[in-house]
Amino acid sequence: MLPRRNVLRLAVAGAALVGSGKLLEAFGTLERVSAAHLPPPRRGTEAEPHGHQWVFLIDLRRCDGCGDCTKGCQEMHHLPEEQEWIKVHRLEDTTGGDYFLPVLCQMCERPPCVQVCPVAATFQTPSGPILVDQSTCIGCRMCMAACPYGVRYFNWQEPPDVPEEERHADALLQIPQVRGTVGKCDSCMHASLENLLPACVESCSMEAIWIGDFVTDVATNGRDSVGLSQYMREHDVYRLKEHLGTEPRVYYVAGHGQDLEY
Amino acid sequence: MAATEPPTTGPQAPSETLADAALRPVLHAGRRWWLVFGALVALVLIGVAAYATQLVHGLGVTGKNDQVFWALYTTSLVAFIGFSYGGALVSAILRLTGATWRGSVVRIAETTALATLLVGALFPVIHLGHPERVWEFFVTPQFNSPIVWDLVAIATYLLATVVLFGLPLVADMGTLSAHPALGPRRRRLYHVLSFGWRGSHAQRRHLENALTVVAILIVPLAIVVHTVLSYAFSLTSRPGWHSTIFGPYFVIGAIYSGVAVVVLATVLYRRAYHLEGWIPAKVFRNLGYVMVALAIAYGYATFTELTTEGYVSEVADAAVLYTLVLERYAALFWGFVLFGLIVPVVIVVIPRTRTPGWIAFASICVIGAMYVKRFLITVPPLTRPLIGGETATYTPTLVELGVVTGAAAGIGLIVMVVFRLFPVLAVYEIEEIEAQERAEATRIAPPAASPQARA
Amino acid sequence: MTGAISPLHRSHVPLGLLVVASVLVLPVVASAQEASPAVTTDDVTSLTVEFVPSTVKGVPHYLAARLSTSDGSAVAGEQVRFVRVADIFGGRKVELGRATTDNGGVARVAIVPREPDYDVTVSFAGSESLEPRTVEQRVVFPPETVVTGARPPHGGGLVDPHLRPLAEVMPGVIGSAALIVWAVLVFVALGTLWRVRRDRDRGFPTSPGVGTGAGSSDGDAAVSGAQGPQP
Repeated sequence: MLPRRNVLRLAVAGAALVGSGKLLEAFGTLERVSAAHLPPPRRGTEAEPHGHQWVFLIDLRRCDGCGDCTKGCQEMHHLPEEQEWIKVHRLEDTTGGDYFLPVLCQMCERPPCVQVCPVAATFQTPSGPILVDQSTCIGCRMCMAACPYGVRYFNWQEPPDVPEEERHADALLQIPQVRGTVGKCDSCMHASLENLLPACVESCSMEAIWIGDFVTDVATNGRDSVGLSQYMREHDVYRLKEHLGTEPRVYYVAGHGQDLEY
Repeated sequence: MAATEPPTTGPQAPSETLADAALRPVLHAGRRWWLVFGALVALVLIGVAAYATQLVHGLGVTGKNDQVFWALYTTSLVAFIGFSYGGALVSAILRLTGATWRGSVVRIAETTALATLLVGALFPVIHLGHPERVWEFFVTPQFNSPIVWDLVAIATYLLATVVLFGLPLVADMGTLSAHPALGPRRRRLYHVLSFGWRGSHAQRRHLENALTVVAILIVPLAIVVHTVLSYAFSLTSRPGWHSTIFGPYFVIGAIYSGVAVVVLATVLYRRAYHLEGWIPAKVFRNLGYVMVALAIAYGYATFTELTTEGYVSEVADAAVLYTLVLERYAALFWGFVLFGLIVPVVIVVIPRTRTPGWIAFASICVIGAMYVKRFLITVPPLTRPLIGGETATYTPTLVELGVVTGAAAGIGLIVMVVFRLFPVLAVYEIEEIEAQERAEATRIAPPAASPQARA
Repeated sequence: MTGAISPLHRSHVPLGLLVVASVLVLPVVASAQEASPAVTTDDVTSLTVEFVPSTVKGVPHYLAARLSTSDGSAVAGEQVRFVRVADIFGGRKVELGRATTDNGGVARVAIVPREPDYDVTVSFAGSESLEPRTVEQRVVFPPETVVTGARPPHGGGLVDPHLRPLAEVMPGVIGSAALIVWAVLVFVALGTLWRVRRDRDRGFPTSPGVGTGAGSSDGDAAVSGAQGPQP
C-alpha cells in the first residue's frame, strides 16, 4: 500500500544509515565503547610491576568456621557488620556431616558480573581480581543478579564513619564504601601490590587460606609456602559451580575440618 | 471552559455529533473530575515525598536486602511498561488486521500506552543507588549489558508510542479546531497542532501511509522491548530466572495486561461521559475475546515452565518452585492463577457476564493479578540462597509503597490531563474506518439495487 | 723379711713419676686428640649445585646437586633438600623438592624456572659419618628455559574465557538497529507532518457527509471543511 517511491526512499535512507554506522565503526567511535576490549585499568590499578596471576586456595580440612577471616577483612576495609566479603557457609556434605565453606569473590576468568554492568563500573584486572569503581557505579545491582556465588553486596545506607587518615578512594581500595554502590571482596590486590598478605590470609588462625600466584608458582598462607601447581595437583583441588563455566580462580581442597592439628 | 457536568441524557441527543462526544471530557469538567484529579495529585505528591526520602537516606529505606535486591520497583518497571502494550495491540495490530471495531478505543489505547510507558520508564531510574549518574550510560556504555539494551529499547519504543499517539491526533486537531464549543486557548492549541490539516485526499493518504509504517514497525519493536526487559532476569544463571521462556512470557504477559488497562480506561471514560452510543458493547466483547486468548497463552506459558522445572526438580529449581507453588508465596501464586487466568476467562466465556461492566471487573482482576505475577517472577527466586545460608525475606516499606502508588496515580493523572486537552475519541480514525466500510459496501453490493429485485 | 723390698732409689723417682703421669695423662690426651676434627678424608662434605637444562622434549629441566666428600668421592643414597626464596610477599621460602643422591652423588629435582634466576638453598642434613652441609647459590637460568606469564589451568569449560564473540558484534548490532528504527520513526513522523502541511491546499477537503464542494484554497482551516461529521 505504500507507493513505490516511498519504499525506495526508505530503502535508500536505511542503507545510508547502515553505511554511516559502518563508517563510525571504522573511525573507531563505536569501537571505543565496544566491550570486546575490557575497560581500561582504572585509577589505582595501573601499577602492576610483577604481572602476577593471583589465585586463592582454601584448605577445607583446616577450616573450623571460626570466622576470623570475615572479621579481619571487615576490619581492614572498614565494613559495616552485615557486609561479609568473605562469608563462611556451614554446609552439609554428602555423608550427612557438616563442613565450613568460606566463599569470597571467586575472581572468575569469565566474570558474569563484568559482562552485565551497564556503565563498565566493575572490571577485570589483568592479574585476576575483579574490582568495582564506586565513583562510576550507578547502583543498578545487575551484577548482583548475575553473580552465581552471591559475593556482591550493596551499600544500602551510609557506612560507619572512618577517620580521615584511613580513607582511600579508588577502585583498588575504597574506604569507606560509597552509599548506593555495590561492594565486594577486592582480593586485597591493594595489599599484594605492597607485598602484604590479604586480610583473610593474614587473619586465618588455622592457616587454611592461601594466596597463590601462577607466574612465580608459589602459594603462601602466611606461615608456609609451597609450589602452587604441585600443591594443586597433589591435593586434587576443586572449584565451585564448575558447570557454569565462570572459570573461578579460587580453589578448594576438599575436607570437613578434620585436619585441625597441623 | 464551563465547569459543567456532562449531559446525563444518553446515549446522546440525536443531533450530537462525533465531535461533540469526542470533546465531552475536554469541555465538561465537573466536581467529580476535580475530586478525582485532586486525589490523584495528592497521591503523586506522596510518591514524590517518598522518593525524596529515598534520595536523602539511601535505598536502605526500602525493604530490600543483599539477597532480595530487586523487588517492588523492578516489579513496577516491568508491570507498567507491560501495561503500555495495549496501545500496540489496539492501535497497531488491530489496524494491521483490519479490525474495524477498534475505532472507538484507539485514542484511549494510545493514551494509556503513553501514560504507562512514561511512568514505567521512570522506574529504572528510581531503583538506582545513584540516579544522578545516568549520564554515564551515554559516555561509557557497556554494550554487553541487558540494561543498556533496555535503555535503547525503551527509548525507541517511547518514540514510537509518541508518534503513534501524535500523528492521528494531528487529524483530529484539524477537524475539531472549528468546533463551536471550544474556548480560544484550546482552539489556538488545536490550530497549531493541526499542521494545516484540512482532510484533503492527499493529507489522508500521507497519514494513512505513515500510520501503516509505524504500525508495522511497532509490532517487532514491542516484541523486542519486553524481550529485552526479560533478559535482565533470564541472562543470569539464577534458578527461576534462567529460563528460555522468559522472552515470549514477558511479551504475552505485557499484551495481556495492556489490553486489560485499555478496557478499564475505556469503561471508566465511557461510563463517566456517557459515551455508550459511541463505544458500543461489542468493543468490550471483542477485547474480552482477545483477553481470553492471551490468558490461555499466558497460562500455557506459566504451566509449561512449572512442569519443566518440576518434573526434573533440580535442587535449586525445585526450591524456587516449592516456595512459589506450595510454601511462602503460594497464596499469591494461586491467587494470580484464579483472578488472573480463570476468572477473566470465565467472565468472558459465559454469555451472561459478557457485558462491559463484568469485563471491566475482569480487567481489574487481570491488572492486579499480572502485577502480582511480575512480583512473583522477581522476588521468590531471590529469596533462595545461592550457596548456603538462610532463606531471605522481603517486605515492602511505606517508601516503596508510596512511590509505586504515586506512580500509578501519575498514570491516571496523565490520562486525565490528556483528555482535558485532547479528544477522547479518535475522530479521524472512526471516520476513516466508516469511509472504508462504506466503500467496501458499495463495492460488494450489486450496482443497481433496483426495486424489481425486491418484488 | 726386712730387706725383701728395696726402697725406691732416689734416681728412680723421676722415671716413676713420668710413668704415673703418662698413665694418668695419656688417656686424657688421647681423648682430646679424638675430639678435635681430624683431617681425614671421610667426613667432610661439599655440595655443588647446577642447573641442568633439558634439550629433549618430555624430559624436564633439573636442578642437580652433587654431594661429595672432600677428596671428591661421591656420597650416594643421602637426601638433599632444595629450597628457593620466591620473590613474592617479601620473599617466601618454597621447597622445590627433596631427592636422594645416586651413585654419582647427584640428587636431581625437576623444576620449571619461573623467574630469570632463583636464590637456591641446597642442604644436606648430615649423617652418622658425614657433616651437614648447606649451600646458598644464585642459579641463573637460560632465558629460553624460563616460563613467564603462566596462567591458571583452563577448566573443563568449552568456552575460552578470552573469546568474546558477542562483545564484538553487540555495539554494531545495537547501534545500527537503533539508528535505523529511530531514523524511520523520525523520518516518517516529521515527513508526514511536513507533507500534511504542504498539501493542505491540494485536493478537495472531502470528509464523508460533508460535500460542501467549496474549494479550500481560500480562507483558514477554522472556517472550511472542519465541521464534525454526522453520526
